[in-house]
Amino acid sequence: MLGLLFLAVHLLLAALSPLVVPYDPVAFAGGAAFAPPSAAHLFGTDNLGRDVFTRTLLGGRVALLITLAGIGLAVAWGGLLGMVLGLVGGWLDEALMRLVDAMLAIPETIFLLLIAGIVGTDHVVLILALGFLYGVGVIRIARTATLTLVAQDFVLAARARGEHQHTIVLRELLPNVLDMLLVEGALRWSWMLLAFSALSFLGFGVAPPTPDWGVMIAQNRSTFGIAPWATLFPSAAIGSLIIGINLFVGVLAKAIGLDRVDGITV
Amino acid sequence: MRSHSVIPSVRMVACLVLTTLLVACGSATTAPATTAPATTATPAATGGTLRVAYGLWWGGAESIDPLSAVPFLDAVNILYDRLVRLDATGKLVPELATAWSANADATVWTFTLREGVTFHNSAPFTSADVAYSIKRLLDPAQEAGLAGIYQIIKQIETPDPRTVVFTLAQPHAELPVLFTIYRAAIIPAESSASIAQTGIGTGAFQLAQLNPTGTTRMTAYAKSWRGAPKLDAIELIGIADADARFQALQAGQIDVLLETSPQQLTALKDNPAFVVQTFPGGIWYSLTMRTDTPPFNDVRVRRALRLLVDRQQILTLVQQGMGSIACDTTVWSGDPYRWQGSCPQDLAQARKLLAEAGYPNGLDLTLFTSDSLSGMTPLAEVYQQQAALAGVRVTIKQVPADSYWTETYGVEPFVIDGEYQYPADLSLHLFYGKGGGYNVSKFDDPAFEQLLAEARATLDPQQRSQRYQQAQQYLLEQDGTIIPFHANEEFSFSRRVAGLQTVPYIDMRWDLVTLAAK
Repeated sequence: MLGLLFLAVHLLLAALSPLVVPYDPVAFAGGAAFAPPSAAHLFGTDNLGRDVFTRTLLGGRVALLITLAGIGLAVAWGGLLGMVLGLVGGWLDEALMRLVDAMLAIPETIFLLLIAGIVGTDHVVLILALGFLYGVGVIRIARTATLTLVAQDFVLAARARGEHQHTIVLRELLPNVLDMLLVEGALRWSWMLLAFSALSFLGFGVAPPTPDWGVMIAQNRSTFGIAPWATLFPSAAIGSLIIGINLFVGVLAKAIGLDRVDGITV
Repeated sequence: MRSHSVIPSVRMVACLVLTTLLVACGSATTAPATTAPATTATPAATGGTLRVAYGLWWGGAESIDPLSAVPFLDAVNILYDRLVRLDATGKLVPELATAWSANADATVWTFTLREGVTFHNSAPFTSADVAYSIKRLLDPAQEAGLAGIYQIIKQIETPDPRTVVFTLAQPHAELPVLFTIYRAAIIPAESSASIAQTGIGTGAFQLAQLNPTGTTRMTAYAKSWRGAPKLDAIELIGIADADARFQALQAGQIDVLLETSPQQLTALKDNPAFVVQTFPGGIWYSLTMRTDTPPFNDVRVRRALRLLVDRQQILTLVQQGMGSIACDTTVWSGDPYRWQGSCPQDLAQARKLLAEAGYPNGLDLTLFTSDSLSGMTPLAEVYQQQAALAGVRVTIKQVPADSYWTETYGVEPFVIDGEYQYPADLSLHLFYGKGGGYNVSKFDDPAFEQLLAEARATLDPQQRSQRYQQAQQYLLEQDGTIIPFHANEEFSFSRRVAGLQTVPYIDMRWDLVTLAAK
C-alpha cells in the first residue's frame, strides 16, 4: 500500500503542482543563493536562488510525461510483436529473437546517449528512443507468455475455427497476457524513469532551466557540502517515486495472482 | 527474469542516495578541524609529482604544437618559453629575450636573447629558433588563425645568434606584447613537422608521456636556464566536466584546480585541507552572436539583446559577486587601456529596437551552452530570464562538454563562451579583428580596424590609450559579443602546494611551484 501511496502522491503532484507551488520555478526572485530551508523556502534555495521546494514539486512532470508515453509505446509494440512471434514461430521468430538478444546486450545508457547525440533530445525523440529501447525487453516476456498459451485448447480451437492470426492475437492471447504486460510495463517504467533522470543529469534530457530532478542534482552536486538541500530533495523525490513504483508492482503482481500462477516471486 | 527485477532497481535507488551521501562524507572527512588556517606556510618542499586537472577543451584532440587549432594550453605553457612574459602586475618581464628596444618611430625592434639556454634535446637556443618560430606565426596557412595579427612584421633578421631584428610594415609601439602569449612559444628551428609529437622547448619541464584524454606527464628538465625546477614532475589529468574536476580535487585525485566556480570556492573555503586563491582577473564569459547570421546580422537586434542585460544580477547570481562588471569588452579591469564605460539595463529601449528591427512581438532564439566551464549554464539561465522581460524567448540547448568547443562553439549562431585575459591590443585583434583567430562573432568592421591600426601606430601613450578605449566603446554599440562581467581568477589547491602566482593560469610559471610531502 505504501507503494500505491508514493505513486499516487507523485502522480497527483505531477498533475496539480503548477497550481500549488509557492514560487515561479525559474525566477531568481525567490531568495539568495544557497539559503537553507526556512519557512519561506521549505527546501531552501539553489545555486541561482530559486526555490528548491517549488522545483522539486515540479521536477517530475517532464520525466513522468515522457516515460509514461515511452512505456506505453514500449509495451504496445514489444507486447504485440512478442505475441505475434510466439504465435507464428518458425524462422522469423528465430531470427528476430536473436536480434533481440543482440539488442539486450547493448548497455541502455550508451544506446540512449548515441541516439541523443545523433538525433538530438527533443521530447518526441526521447519518447521514441526510450519506447523502442524498453520495448525490446518486453518482446521476450510477451513471447514467453504466448508460448505457454498457444498449446492450450482455446487457442487451438480458435485456430480450428479458422480465425485470422490478428484475431487470435487480440481476442485470445492479449486478454491472457495483458496482466503480465501491465506488471512488466510498470516495472520497466521505473527503470525508464531512472534512465531518463540519468540522461537529464548528463545534460541530455530536460534542458535548463525547466525544473527536473536529474538536472537539479547535476547543477547542485558540486556544492553538496554547503547546500545539501538542493541535491537531497530532488534525490529523495526520484528515490521515493521509483521505490513506490516497485512496491506497487509487487502488490499488483500478487493481487492478480501472477506470482503464484507463474511461480514467480515479484 | 522478473524474479530479480525488483532488487536491482531498489539497489539503484539506494546507490543514488548513497552516492549523494558519499559526496557529503568526502568533503566532511577531508576537513580535520584542528588544522591551522589555510594561509600559513606549508612544510618544506620535497620534489614530488604535481597533479593538475585540465578541462579537455578539445575533447582529447589536444596538440602540443603551440600553433595548433586545438592547442593543449596547459602543456604548451609548461613545455615552451616565450621571448617575454607578463608578470602579475601586467609588466613585461624578460624570458628568452633579455632586452629589447625600438628605433625612434617604432618600426624596427631589436631583441637581445638569453645566453646558455638549451632545448630539451640539448640543442643550443639561438636567434634562428626565434626567427623560425615567429615566421610560423606569420604563415597565413597556420591553424591558429593569428597571421592577421602578426602580419605587421615585414622582416625578421638574425645578425648574430643572440640578436633578432624585427622590421615592421607600420609602427607598433608595443610590439613585445605580441610575444607574450602562449602561441608565440619558441620551438627549435625546422621542427614544425615534429613538434606536435616531441614537445621540445626550453621550458622547465620536458615531455615524458603525452596522453590528452588521460594523463600527460612532464618531468623536470635539469638543464633548464632557470635552474632545475622544484617539482620532479607535473601530470596534467584530463577531466571534461567542471564538477567532476572539483570532485577529483576533493577526493585527492588531483592537487590543483585552476578554474573553480564561486560556488565551489564557497564549498572549499572552510576546509583546511585546501587553499583557495582569488584575485581580480580577466576571465570572461560571453553570450556570443554571429554577426553574419540572421537575426544577429541586424545591429539593432544585437543592441537590443545587450540592452536587456542586468549585469549586476548576472554577476551576483552566476559569479556570487566575485568579479567586476564589464561593458562587453574583453579588456580586463587591470589593463591600462580598459574603457570604463557604463551599460545599464534598458528594457524599453531594447523592445523599441526589436520592434524597429521587425520583431514587435519579440524574438525566439536558441542559446547553446555546456557544462565545460561551471559558469556557462547558469549564465544562460539568468540571461534567459532577463531576455524574457523584453519579450525575447530564449531556448537553452545544452550539449556535451567534450564536443562543445569543437562542434558547437564557432558553429552555432548564439553560444556561451569562456575565455581568459590578453593584453588589450592582442585581445581586441584576436576576438574582433578581421582575421583574428578567435573572432567567433565574425565581426568585420573597417571603422573598428582603423581605430586599432591608429592605436598601434601612434607613439603617444595617451593617444594610444584613447584609441583603444574608443575601439571598446565602438564594440559596445556594434559587435555581437555580450560580456557581462570579468571573473576573478579562482585557484583551489591542496595545502601541500605552494608557489602558485597570481597570474592567469595560462601564464603560470610552474618552476616556482612546490609540493610538500604528505
